Amino acid sequence: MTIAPKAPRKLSMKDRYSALTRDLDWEPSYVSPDELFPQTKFEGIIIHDWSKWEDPFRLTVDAYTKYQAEKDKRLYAVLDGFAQSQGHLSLTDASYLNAMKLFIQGIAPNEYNAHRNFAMLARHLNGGGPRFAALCQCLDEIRHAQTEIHTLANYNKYYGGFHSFLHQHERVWYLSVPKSFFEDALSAGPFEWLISIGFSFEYLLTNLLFVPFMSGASFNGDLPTMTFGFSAQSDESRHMTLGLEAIKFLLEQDERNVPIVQYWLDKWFWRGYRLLALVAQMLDYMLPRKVMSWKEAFELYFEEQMMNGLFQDLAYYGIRPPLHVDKAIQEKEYVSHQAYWILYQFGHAAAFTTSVPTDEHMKWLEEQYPNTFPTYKTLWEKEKKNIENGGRHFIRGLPQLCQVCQIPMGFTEADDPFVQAQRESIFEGERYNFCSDGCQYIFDHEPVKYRQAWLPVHQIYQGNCGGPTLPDVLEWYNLKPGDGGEYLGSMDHQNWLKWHGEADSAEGIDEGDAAYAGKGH
Amino acid sequence: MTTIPAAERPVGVDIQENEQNRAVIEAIEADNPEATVRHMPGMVRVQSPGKLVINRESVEERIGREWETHEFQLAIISYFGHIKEWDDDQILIAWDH
Amino acid sequence: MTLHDTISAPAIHALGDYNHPSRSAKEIYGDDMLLMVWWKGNPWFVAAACCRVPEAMPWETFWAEVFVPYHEEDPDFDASKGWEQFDWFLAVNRTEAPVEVAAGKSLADLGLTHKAVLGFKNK
Repeated sequence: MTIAPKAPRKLSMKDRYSALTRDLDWEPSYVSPDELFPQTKFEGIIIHDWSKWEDPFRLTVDAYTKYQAEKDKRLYAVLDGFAQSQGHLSLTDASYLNAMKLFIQGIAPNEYNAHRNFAMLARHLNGGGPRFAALCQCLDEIRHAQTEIHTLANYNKYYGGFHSFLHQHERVWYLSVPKSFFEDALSAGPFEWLISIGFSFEYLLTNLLFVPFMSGASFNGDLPTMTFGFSAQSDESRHMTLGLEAIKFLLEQDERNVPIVQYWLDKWFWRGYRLLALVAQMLDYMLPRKVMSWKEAFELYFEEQMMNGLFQDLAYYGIRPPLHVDKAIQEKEYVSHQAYWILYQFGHAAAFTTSVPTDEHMKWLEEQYPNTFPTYKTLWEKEKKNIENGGRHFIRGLPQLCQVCQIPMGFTEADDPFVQAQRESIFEGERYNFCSDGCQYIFDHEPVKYRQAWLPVHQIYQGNCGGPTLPDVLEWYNLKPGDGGEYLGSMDHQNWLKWHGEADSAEGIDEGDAAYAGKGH
Repeated sequence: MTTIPAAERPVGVDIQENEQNRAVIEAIEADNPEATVRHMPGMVRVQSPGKLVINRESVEERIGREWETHEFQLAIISYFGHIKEWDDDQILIAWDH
Repeated sequence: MTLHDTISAPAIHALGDYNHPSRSAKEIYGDDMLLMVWWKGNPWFVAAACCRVPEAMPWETFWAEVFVPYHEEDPDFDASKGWEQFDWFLAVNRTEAPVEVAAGKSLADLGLTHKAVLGFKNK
């Protein structure tokens, strides 16, 4: 522990917080509060007394910077050690990094987006307490973006799929899923942001994203990712608190806030849950050494903690569990199989690789999903035969996308594992397609917002993505040989075998092996 | 939804498993007799029905130096429940209703 | 063909005017349209295909130039059995309205409109 001994303090934590955070707030004198804070009325939320906002962390700027600096020091020591010791060679397998490719392409740019919006809240919320909490979170989020990029940059020297994450985040079809999720929240008002990201994402669902990712990293030899993950998560507990305080504050301020908050909760639970389909397949299919199944993680982090814990508390305010939560609970048995099957057959247009699960892997899946995996296994058996006959299942066209979540419409009806759900609404004479009741419900409440969706497939057909042919589009994505497609025989796989075939010598480990390394955006 | 009283619904914390946090975990176990501990890769989950407390004095006894409750921010990965109190001497996690 | 709205315009809460057009309106595609082609009950294709096709394209051209090249990727699909091997329908939510496909008819003649889902299943 390198933290200096404490100087004697005159004030208690409570008093310091009050003096350094709340007492620095002031009443405007030469403009009206409405002129100073123009964003906190239009959503219909009614606040009577901003001073009622609680911050249990009682964080002050000196304590904040002291502990954040310590967290960074610890992290960067680990990063250096790992890079110097060729730590990447001790991963379980090069295919493990597919999970990290998805992470840097899909999540890191959204940490930056979260930073932007919390900066906006740190300016625009009326209360001094929530403004300071938002300021801390704004700084946390940019720290997360930076530490994630620094951590994964080391892998970019040796492996495909990392080199153009930002460029790809803006363009590639599957990355429009996390991108549109965050941008939908960014383009809402400050209170909806607090409920969508602060509460629904950070409190309700973030455990399902981060904890399995980081435990998976730990279990697969990825010390730097585990360290940045846990370092970020230590901030996350503060973010969860902000989210929980936000929802309680809104509900306590005025009864008329309850239905507004309930709609946001219904909406953002489903938006977040659909996004987490990417995490579900990562847990069940991408980690060479498994931590826990998606089903188990969902039961532990969502059903036990949220349904049996949190929503019991919120019932006091007249809040019920989100609509369509029953569908999510039911889907825990199969959503990962369907999500990976989507990524597998569109893998030729991705910046990560996929492969048929090994026999051992399928055995694990059968143990975890005795009721559903045998059904999906028939697909893999068919694909194995297909491969023996010289094929590899890559779709020869483009898929139907959901207008709201933007995922290819591969999720099925509850009563048939092989029949994809089809939903549509017609608004001002135009038809829109949805993957589920949950996504349709959101569109039907905000059609003018969601009809603007930048759906990658439709944009390709409009000629906005580099050109009419697949190679044109892949070039526009800046996908390089070795980034996507089948894992077996890929550049990562061949390098991995080469490096481990010469295990007792460092020869052949050359940063130049990944020919595209450093050719970033 | 079946109603479960606040005193019975579990609350808990996920803590990074490392040498520095051993004393913290031991202090939590000592001060929360009903707590259960689960080890997962890289982390430890401690949960307890109704509430969970972390006392500064208990941690200091075990760590052998001064420890301020703010330091818990370096240990925590996640939690469930509501942070009802976080002052110089104690952190209390419990459900409200 | 005019489609009838299934939802009405809800209230919008926004700062200022908020009314942006669809990014995938029919007009953007000129004489073409997007058509979803869905093999119901065959999970080999994880989702329905989305194609850009002329509304005036004759059915037999659609079958030969769009449908077959895409679906041949399934090793169990036998194009030589022709389109008669399937029942064709328009999928709207969970309902199916039969579509009588026939050579010489255009896609528009078959009642297919922008972003409609043309479903088919094994007989």
